[in-house]
Amino acid sequence: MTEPYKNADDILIELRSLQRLFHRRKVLDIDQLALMRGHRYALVGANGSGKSTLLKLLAGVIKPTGGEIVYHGLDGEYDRAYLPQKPYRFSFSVRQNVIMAIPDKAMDKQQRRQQAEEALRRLGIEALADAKGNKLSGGEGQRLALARLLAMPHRLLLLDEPTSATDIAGNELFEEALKNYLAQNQSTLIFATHTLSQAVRLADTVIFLDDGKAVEQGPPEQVLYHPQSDGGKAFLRFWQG
Amino acid sequence: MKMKKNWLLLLVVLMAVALVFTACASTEKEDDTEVTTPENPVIRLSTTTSVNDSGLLAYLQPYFEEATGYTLEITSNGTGAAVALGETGDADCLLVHAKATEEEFINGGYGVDRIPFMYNYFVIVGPESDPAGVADATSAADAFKAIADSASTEFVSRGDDSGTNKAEMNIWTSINVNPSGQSWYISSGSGMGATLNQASERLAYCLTDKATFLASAANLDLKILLASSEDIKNTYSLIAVNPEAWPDTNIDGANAFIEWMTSDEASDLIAEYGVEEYGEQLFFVMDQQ
Amino acid sequence: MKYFVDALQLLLGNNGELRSIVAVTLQMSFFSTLISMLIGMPLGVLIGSRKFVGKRYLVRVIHTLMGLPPVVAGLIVFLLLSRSGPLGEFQLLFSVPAMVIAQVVLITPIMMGLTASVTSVRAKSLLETSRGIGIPRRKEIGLLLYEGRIQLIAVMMTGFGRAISEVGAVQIVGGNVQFKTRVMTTAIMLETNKGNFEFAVALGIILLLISLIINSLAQRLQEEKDD
Ligand SMILES: Nc1ncnc2c1ncn2[C@@H]1O[C@H](COP(=O)(O)OP(=O)(O)OP(=O)(O)O)[C@@H](O)[C@H]1O
Ligand SMILES: [Mg+2]
Repeated sequence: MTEPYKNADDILIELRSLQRLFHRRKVLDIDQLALMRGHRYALVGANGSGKSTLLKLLAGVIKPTGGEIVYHGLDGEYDRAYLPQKPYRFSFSVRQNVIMAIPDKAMDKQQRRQQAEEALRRLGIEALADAKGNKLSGGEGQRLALARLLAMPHRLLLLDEPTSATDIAGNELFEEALKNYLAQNQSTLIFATHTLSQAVRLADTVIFLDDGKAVEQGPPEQVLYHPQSDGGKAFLRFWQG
Repeated sequence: MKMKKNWLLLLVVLMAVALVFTACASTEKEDDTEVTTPENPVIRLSTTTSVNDSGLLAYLQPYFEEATGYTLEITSNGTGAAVALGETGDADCLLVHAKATEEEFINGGYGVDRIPFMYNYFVIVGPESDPAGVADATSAADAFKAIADSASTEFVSRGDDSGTNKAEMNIWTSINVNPSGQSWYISSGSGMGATLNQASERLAYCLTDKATFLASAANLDLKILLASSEDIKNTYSLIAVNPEAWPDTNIDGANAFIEWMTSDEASDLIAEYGVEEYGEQLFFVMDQQ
Repeated sequence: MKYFVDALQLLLGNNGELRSIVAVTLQMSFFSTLISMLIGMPLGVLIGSRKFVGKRYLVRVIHTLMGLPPVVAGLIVFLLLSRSGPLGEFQLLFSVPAMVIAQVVLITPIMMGLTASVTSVRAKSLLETSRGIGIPRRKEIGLLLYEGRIQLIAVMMTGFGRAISEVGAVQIVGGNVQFKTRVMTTAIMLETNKGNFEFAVALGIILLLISLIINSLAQRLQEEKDD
C-alpha cells in the first residue's frame, strides 16, 4: 500500500492507474489511491480539475477509460449513493421524490412515508412535501436531493457540491443532518466542494485535484493551510480561511 | 474529412449525369419540331384513366404531333373529373366513354359536339374455377345474375363513377339488382388496375376494359370469362370544349385533334394497336361519315 | 359556405357511408397510433438514453425511415400481404389490419426518432440521479417516459396526425373498399376524381374538425399535467 500507516483491512476503495478520457483528452489520471472505511474525504480543486469525474467514476455512473476501481464490501444495491452536481428532480411530489429512494422491500408504505418526511424535516423542507419536485427553487431542489440520499442508510455517500445552492440555514441543517447520519450509519463520505470552510468542518482528509491528478492528500489543516504543490498554492491564493 | 470529399464527389457525379440527361432530352425535342408550329401549339386533352392506362394515346401521340405540329398535354382522371375539367375550361378536348354524362355535358353548353369514333367491349373476368358459371352466360346481364345469385362469390366494382363503373351499374339496373352494400359486392373506389388487383387477390369477378386487363394479365390470377356481348359495348367519343363557354380554350387545336383521330391514318394505327403485343385488336374504329 | 352547410347536413343527417368512413378512419388511426407508440416509445427512450456501439448509424437509419415515402411503405406491405406474398396465407390484404400494419411501418420510426430526441435532453441527468439513489434499472424506461410525458403527448399527436392524414399507403393496402377500408383521405381522393367536390370538401372539413378536437384534447391534457 502507498501509505503504510493504514490498515489494509480498512480499505474501502482502491484506485489503480485510474484514467478517464473525454474526446481523447485525459481528464482524470490517478496512479494509486486508497480510500478508507469510515473516513470523510473532501475533493478540492479548480473548476475542471476532475472532481465530478472522479465522483461519477466512483458511483459507477461512467466507466473508466483505463485502470480499475476495486471496492471492498460495497456490493449491495443501496450501498453506494451518489448526488450529481445538478441533481434531477422528478415531476411528482417532493414526498414521492424521497420515497422513491427508499426501496419498497425495506419497509411498508407507511414507514417509507414517515421516513421520507423525517428526511424532509431534517433539511427544513417538510412544508414543501406536496409541491412538485420540478417546480422547486434551486436551493429547495438541492435540499430535496440531499433528503433523498439521507432518507436511507448507505455505506458510501458521494456528494458533488452538496450545498452549492443552499442558503446559510440550509448549510447548517445539511451539515447537522449529515453528521448525525454518518455517526449513525458508520458511512464513508466523499464530497466535492468549493466551500473550503465546509471541507474543514466536515472532512478528515482533503484530496486536492490538479488537472486530473491527486497531487495532495492529508488532513485539512495541512492541505488547505500549508499546501506543498505549486498548483495547491496557486489555488489557495485567494482563500482567506 | 475524407467522408465529406466522397460525398461531394458523388454529388458532382450525380449532377453531371442529370445534366447529360436533360441535354439529351432537349436535343430530342429539337429534332421533332420540324412541321410548322401552329399559333397555339398546346392541346390540353382530358381523358379517363382507363384510356390512359390502355397505352393507346401514348402510342398515337408521336404520330399526331409529327403530322400536325401540335403538342398534346394529356391529363387522366376518373370520368367525372375528366369531364369536370371541360366544364371549368381547364381542357380543350375530351376523350371519354360515358354516353349519358357526355350528353349532359353537351346540353350544358360546355361541348361543341359529341363525336363517337371507336368502340370495344368490356369483358367479365374472374377466377379460373368460375364458381358462378359466368363462362356459360350469353350476355353480361345473364352473367351478373349468376354472380348475384351465387352466394359464395364476390364481385369487385370500381365504384368510382367512371365510364366502366357506369356501364356496370347499367347492367345491375337492367336486372333489377341493387348490389350496393351487399356482402359480396366490393366497391373499391379505385382505378381499373387497382380494382383488377383486388379482384385477383380475392379471386372475385370484375368488369373491365380489355386493354387494361391484357396489359396486366400476366400478374393476375384472372381469366376472361365473357367477351364481346352487345350489352357491354363501350363507345369512345371526342368532344371539343365549346369556345363560347370558354373563349380561351384552344378550339383550333381540338378540331385538329378530332380531325386527325378520325382520319384514315389514325384509323389504321388504332386498328393495329395491341395486335402485336396481345395478338388481338383492342379498339375498333366506327364506320362513320 | 355552401360546402360547409352541405358538410353539416351530411354530418347531422343519417349518411351511413359518411359514418362508416369516419368510423373506419378513427379506428385505423387509433390502432396505428397505439401500436406505434407501444413499439416506438420504449425503443425511442432506450435509444435516446443509452450509449451503444453503432448508435449514430441506427439514429441515421431511423431518421431516414422517418421520411419514408408512404407509398413505398404501402408497396412493401402490399407485397408482403398479397396472396402470393410471404404473409399471404393470413388474407389480410384490403382490410383495416393491413392499413394499420402499413401505418405502423410509417409511424413507428417517427415515434421512435422523436421520442429519442425528446428523451436525450433529460436522460443523462435523470439517469445519474436515479442510479445515484439505487433505483432499479428496469424502472428507468418508465421514469423517462413519465418525465417526458408532456412532449410525448405531442409526439403521439404527430403520429396520429400522420395516420389520419395519410393517403398513399392506405390506398394501396386498404384498397379503398366502401364500408370496409375507405377512410377520409382515400374517400376525398375518390370523390375529387369523380368530380364530386361537395362531398370531398365536406369530408375535408370533417377531417379538419377531428384534428381540431383531438389537438384540443391533447392540449388540455398537457396543460393539466403542467399546471
Ligand atoms: N461528458 C463530458 N464530455 C467532455 N468533456 C467532459 C465531460 N465531462 C467532463 N468533461 C471535462 O472534464 C474536465 C473535468 O470535468 P469535471 O466535471 O470533473 O470538473 P470539476 O472538477 O467537477 O469542475 P467544477 O468545479 O466546475 O464542477 C473538464 O474540463 C470538463 O470539460
Ligand atoms: Mg464538478
